[in-house]
Amino acid sequence: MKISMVLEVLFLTGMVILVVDVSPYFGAIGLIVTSLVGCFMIMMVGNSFLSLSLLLIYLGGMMVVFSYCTALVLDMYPSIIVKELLMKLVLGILMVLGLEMIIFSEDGIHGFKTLGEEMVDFGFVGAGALYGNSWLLVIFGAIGLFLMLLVVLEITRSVERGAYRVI
Amino acid sequence: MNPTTFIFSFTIAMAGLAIYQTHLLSLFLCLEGMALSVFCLMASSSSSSFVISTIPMPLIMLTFSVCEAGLSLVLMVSMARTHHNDLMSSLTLLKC
Repeated sequence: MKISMVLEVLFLTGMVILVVDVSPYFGAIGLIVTSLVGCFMIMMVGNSFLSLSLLLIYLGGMMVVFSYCTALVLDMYPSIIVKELLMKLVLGILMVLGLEMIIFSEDGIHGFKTLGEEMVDFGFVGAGALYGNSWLLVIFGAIGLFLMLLVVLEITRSVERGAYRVI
Repeated sequence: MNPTTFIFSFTIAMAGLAIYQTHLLSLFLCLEGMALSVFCLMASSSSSSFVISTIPMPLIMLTFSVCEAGLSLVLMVSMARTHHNDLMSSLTLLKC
């Protein structure tokens, strides 16, 4: 059993857990599993810096903010109907197994080959390309991120109102 | 890495976005799943080819995906302000 096969099955399983609509708590768990497996897959093709930045920014930044906002809107005890959950999970896992049979069949869809034993870390090569050729894109990314701060304040009208809820 | 896996996972997350979920937050989590699968697709296919200027592409995409996540959370918070929950069944225009 090759390790790339296991990783791809885990990636798709994490996505299925995300889509199955029990409660957003379980959706967040599926997203965390998917991003961890995706980090490992990116590391295997030799791009370790990108995997690190995915972990830091995606899991350490965006997931934390998502969980804070989840705590604001969700109920403490989600009601889980076991029969519906089992039906959806079984359907999802069957779908994942069917997709894997298509990917790994002999005359199925062929993809790119994995990188061999070359010891080049593409992340640090890409850092040169980031600041050399595409410096304007970096500047526009920074402007977009700064604009997001102002957009957040404007949509919720927090400048006029103040506290989150009036109890 | 096989790009077929990431295309399949993008389609699965898009199906999750099209389903009538119970909470609005589940839709935004599926949106993040789509962005994650596109990120992994870009990362794996830029490592297979030897064109250097495609290597920072996933990092730039992550920057704009963070902006998108911030927007979606702001929409959820303003929905919690007006409707006091984020259930999809309260997004109705009927008055009776």
